[in-house]
Amino acid sequence: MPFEPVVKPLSLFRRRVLLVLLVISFMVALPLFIFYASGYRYNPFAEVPVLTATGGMYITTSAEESAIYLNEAPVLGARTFRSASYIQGLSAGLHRVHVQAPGVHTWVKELVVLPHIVTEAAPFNLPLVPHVRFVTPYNTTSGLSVLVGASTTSRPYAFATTSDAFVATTSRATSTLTFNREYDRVAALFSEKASTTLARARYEAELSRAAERFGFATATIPTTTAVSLSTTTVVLDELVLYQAGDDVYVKALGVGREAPLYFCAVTAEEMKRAEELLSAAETSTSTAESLSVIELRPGNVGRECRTDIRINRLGQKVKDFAFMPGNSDLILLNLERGLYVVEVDDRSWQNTQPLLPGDDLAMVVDGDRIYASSTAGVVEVYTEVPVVQ
Amino acid sequence: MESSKDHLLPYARRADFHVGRATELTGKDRVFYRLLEILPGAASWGTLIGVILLSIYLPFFAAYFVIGFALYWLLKTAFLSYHLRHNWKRLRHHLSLDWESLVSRFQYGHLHHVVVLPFYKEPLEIVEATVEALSKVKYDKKKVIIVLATEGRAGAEAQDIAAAIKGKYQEQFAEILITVHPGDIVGELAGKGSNASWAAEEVRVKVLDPRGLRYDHTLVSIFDIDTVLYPDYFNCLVWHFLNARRPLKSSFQPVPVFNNNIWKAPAISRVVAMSSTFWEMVQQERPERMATFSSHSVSFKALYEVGYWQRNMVSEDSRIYWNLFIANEGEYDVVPLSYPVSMDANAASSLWKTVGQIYRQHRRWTYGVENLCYILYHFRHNHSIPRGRRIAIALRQAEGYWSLVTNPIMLFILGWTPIFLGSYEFHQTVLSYTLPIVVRDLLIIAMFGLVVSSWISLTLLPKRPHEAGRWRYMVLAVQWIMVPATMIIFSAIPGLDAQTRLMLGKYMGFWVTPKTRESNPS
Repeated sequence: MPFEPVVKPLSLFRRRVLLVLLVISFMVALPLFIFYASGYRYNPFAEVPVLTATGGMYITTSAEESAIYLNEAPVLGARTFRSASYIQGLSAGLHRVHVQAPGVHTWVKELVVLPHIVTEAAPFNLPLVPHVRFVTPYNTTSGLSVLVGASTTSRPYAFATTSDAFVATTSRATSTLTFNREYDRVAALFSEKASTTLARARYEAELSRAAERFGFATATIPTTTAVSLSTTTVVLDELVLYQAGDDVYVKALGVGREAPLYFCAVTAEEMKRAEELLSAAETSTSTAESLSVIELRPGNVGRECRTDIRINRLGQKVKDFAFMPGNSDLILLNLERGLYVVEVDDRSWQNTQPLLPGDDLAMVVDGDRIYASSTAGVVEVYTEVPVVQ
Repeated sequence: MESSKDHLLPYARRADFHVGRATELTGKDRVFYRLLEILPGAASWGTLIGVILLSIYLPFFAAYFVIGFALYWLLKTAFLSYHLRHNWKRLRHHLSLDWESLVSRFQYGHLHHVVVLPFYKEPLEIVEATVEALSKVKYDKKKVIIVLATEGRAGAEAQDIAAAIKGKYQEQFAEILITVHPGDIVGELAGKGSNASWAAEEVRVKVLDPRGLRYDHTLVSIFDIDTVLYPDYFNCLVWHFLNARRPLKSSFQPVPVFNNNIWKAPAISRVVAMSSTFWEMVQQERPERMATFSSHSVSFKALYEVGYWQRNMVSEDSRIYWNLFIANEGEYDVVPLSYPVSMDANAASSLWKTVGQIYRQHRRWTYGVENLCYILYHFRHNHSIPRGRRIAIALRQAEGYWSLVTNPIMLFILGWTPIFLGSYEFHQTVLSYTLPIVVRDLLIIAMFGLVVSSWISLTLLPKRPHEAGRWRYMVLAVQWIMVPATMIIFSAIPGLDAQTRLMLGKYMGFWVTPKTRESNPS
């Protein structure tokens, strides 16, 4: 710098040149950014460089330290939040997604990706080894559950892990113990459920007898009736979970944008499949099939949306069902061989994961807790692998 | 007090020349001025509400707009950073110069300086620090007349302070004049402008005229009472005055560096204060956009020709420039000195009080939007200024006040509204998911401008006091991450507040920023 005052500010010429350069940069960059944000990608290294319209996938996971694989390749750097990942730049077509984590079941699904559209999925990963907490009639004075008539080596639910301390005693004496109020409350819930289930069974038997008496081809339980039966019909987030015949269904009370996205067919193939199912249902005498299909209604976004989705029951008899606490995307089924969790989303297949094995289980959902009861006792069943402190 | 208008420039003789608000006018002029008062607030609110409506009804278009806006912001940051860096180099160079020897090449013994120091209830140590710094300038202080412009409303205590200062420093200067501005003059707004105008007329009548000092040989420097001069300020000022294209038609603007108490002020205050300094530094590189701000200097003749500072409005420091510009039919400049004066960062006894003070101070500053009404009103009447220039200035000023309020809110808050308010169709698109990523990345790149700011701010620090550890430098560097928040809280919201008040006709009064040198740093 000279040893004279630099009186003049930046020259107008330099400022104008800079301004023009920045304006040109803006004019050039803006369309590029808009194209990029809209999903267009250009690969100059491809054999035939071409601009393609891509889609994306938004995956929200619940398992700790879960890893996402897309078409068998790990997805890195896509996490937008702790439990959500956004994978962008996906070519249109079918993509296979794995979500896995240590100690939990792997979730796998094939999902269709469309240009400019983001496909959402909410994988779930239940513990590989069931994890429970004992809810016993008695507690110690310090609040520990007491397994009366058991030992630490031969406790009930031995196939499950537990991280809550308990006391196992072969003694039958209870004089030094305190009553467990939680147990009383849960036992009352089970008792109440048993009585209403009995009423439901009686009602169904009566329907069956009526069908035989009057020669109905099938015994259809109208949805409206099902909705009114509180023990077998559950409503959550504008979704109704109900049983018809041997199957359990989820009905979307809203259509189009009000229903979860998997109620709507999004591809020509899926639309074709849905139409085929509809056609088959019209000629079928099976109540189950006619219900599984599902009413095709024009959604108000120009897509065809169903109203009902059948839940995969693994070919077993459904003893009880409920929405997973606070989650209308997942159904908790009490089947012949235990408790299972099934996702409603039936794009490709419905993922089904065992929660607690057992052939004599009863279940109750109380708030955000799941309780199971058997001759071995009452436990709370956890859906997440406990974090080791 | 002046009674005749003969000394005023022709346009300044108009009855509405010093209009402060619509209620001072009548008839169509009143309606027109009122519409002008509504305009800035309506434009800002319209923009903000428009972005929300756009997000609801045209989310795709809103998303494109947001991306474009983020990109614009990035490029604007680069543009302004370039100006800032250039001015920083110029400012440092000017600080390194021996202005005394530079100015000695010229004949300047005929020049006199009047330093107007308006104050209200500021404590003795604040006033004394300012006068003490004045006593140490490298300049013939017998050419310097100090005016301690007190307020009658401030009571005897202010008079005692003024008297004490006068007693201690009188011998060092040509004169120390104490003026007392009456608080009951009809048509005046209690504040710095009315006080300074009173003082200017007093010094004319009591000092300049009796001593036969020519108005065109007298430079008036009006300083906030916390202004501490660097030793070469008057040499630098005189050099620029003597080298100016039209010295009597120019105001001279130093860079206000709010660093007097920077080591004691809380971090949030430091960031806001330094941001204000940086804005002035940027403006120094594009003088065609400048108006005077805070402490500045001007010839007494120019002031006298427009009737001094306006007495009926809040932001008299920039209004005087527009008075001069319009009265001189556009033939008036602001000369950037690129030489600093030190002022106080806002600091109160507690953090929350400081936050409140900063907010009120910035609301007062952003109430400068009242100048836009004044400019547009007189541009309609004063056709001596070329039309193209009037339009360019009007658009620049309007854009400035509009962007001050809307840009930070749009960028950091409303930019996300398409994602929250957009339609179902929009939510399922790649655009909806990619929008926050693209905007976030653009803003992160734009934040690199803050690195420049952080670096420059460290070079403008006064000497570190013993009680402040070296780790404070780290805090001072990192504090700039608060800028997005401070832009909204201390720029956009007070600006919107000020514009809304003007729009609704709830005119603001002059709020005096309390000055203290004691605070809890953080």
